[in-house]
Amino acid sequence: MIVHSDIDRVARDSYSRLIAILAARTGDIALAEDALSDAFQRAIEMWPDQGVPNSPEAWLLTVARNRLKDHYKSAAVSRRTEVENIEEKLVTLDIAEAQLSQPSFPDERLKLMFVCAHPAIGDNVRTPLMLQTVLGLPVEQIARLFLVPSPTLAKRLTRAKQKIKSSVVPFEIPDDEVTLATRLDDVLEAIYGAFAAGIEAEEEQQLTLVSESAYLIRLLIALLPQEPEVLGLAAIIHLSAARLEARYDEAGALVPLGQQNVDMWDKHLVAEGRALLEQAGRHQRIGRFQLEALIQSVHCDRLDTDSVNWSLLLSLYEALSSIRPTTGSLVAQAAVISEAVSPQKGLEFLHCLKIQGLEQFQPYQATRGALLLQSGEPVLAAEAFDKAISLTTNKAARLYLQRQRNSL
Amino acid sequence: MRYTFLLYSNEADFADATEADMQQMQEIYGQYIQALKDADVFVDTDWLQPSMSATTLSLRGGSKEVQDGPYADTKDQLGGYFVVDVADLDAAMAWAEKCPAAQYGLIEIRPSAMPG
Repeated sequence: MIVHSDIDRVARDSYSRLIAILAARTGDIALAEDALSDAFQRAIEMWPDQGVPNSPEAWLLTVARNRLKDHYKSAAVSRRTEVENIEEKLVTLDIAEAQLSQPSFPDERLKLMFVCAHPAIGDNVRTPLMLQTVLGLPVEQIARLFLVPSPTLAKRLTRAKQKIKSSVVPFEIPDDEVTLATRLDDVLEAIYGAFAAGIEAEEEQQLTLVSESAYLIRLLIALLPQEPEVLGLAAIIHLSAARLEARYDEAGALVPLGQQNVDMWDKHLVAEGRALLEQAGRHQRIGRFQLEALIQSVHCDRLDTDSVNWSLLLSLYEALSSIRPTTGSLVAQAAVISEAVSPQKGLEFLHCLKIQGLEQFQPYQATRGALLLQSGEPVLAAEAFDKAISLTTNKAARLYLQRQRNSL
Repeated sequence: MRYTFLLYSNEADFADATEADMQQMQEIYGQYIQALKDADVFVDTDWLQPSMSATTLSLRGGSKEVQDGPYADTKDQLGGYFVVDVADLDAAMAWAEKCPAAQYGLIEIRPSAMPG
């Protein structure tokens, strides 16, 4: 389900490699996109008659570079002051063209990903920007995936690209480790954003978002093979994708992890996820994505042992809370405490959380309901379930909660 | 409890919208309406033509006054509404957050004052 066809992959690979080369050398993503789409258009017109050139990528780069040259020449006439700067850009493009076929030629896509997830770019546009520039997805499709009107998304993307150009967001990989780690976290977060939206989405949109995020994380592994957190996110994507089929029952209701039929899990994907996690572990640098993947992996132990090691899960959640506490992970920790210790202890933990907006957080109310029920408080449990149901906009989750509520 | 979502947006944002854009808008609003119906909270909705089509009428000053155009000439204009029937303001806010209009405009949430 995660694999694209070969042709699609090659075309995409070329597209993203070339966009990255052009954008890194001009600092202008929109201009790079225009030039490259012109080049692809020319290829469609010319290749059927003249045959495919020996090096299609070099051919495309030459045409795109010529387009950029034309553009800069006309721009330079009106703004003389920038001529020198432009000459410099064109020279670097010429060099890129000459060296493209050499195996040592650097892949610039990592720089492009860092730019897309730059802290100066708004949270809500980083993931779409990456899907558009690195994967070449059309705006209309991205808009459908995130349920945003196309003109709204187009405007956000244009604004982001203008900002990258005018504020001169650098196309570079941070060289000090601390900055690299922070910025890499933003890149991973943007990819995770595509995957998380996919998990919640309807069937067709789900498939697209899951496979696109898998493509992006594989690309990132290829570009940064030594980063354990990249492998950690890849493991999360594989382990969660493995259970997608088992997430819904025949009525379309959500099936929580603990009640899923393990026969419906994709064992191949689980094995792949675990291999990625093992690879990450060799670096001996734990992080939040690896911890989340480890949590998933412990749940997947049900494939072999038919039981879950709750105390191990609890220590993983405690570690996660100590480095990256989120409302979602803290609420999930309460549910794990309930299994590992007792429902009362889980409730105590939940009630000690001091987070703004907690009462309006659907998973909090749903978990509270479940723990109250297990503690023998059916009246309070019903109240919590009713509150949770009223906050649920997702149909599958609501069907599950209503069933729990009705069983009272 | 009934709540009305008044959807405000800048009409200029959609001045260049194509036929395909409008169709995509209808699709995502269609999904939203379906989600409201699935949850059994949907009451009513309507989308309005641009504010330049508005006619404003009043008898407040003693005689009939008719104005060509909207009541207030503001940047954000009323573009549509939803009426939902939900438990409380928290639930109303959860649904307003999912409304496509929240992505490009703003949503005023008003509880119903109608008895019964």
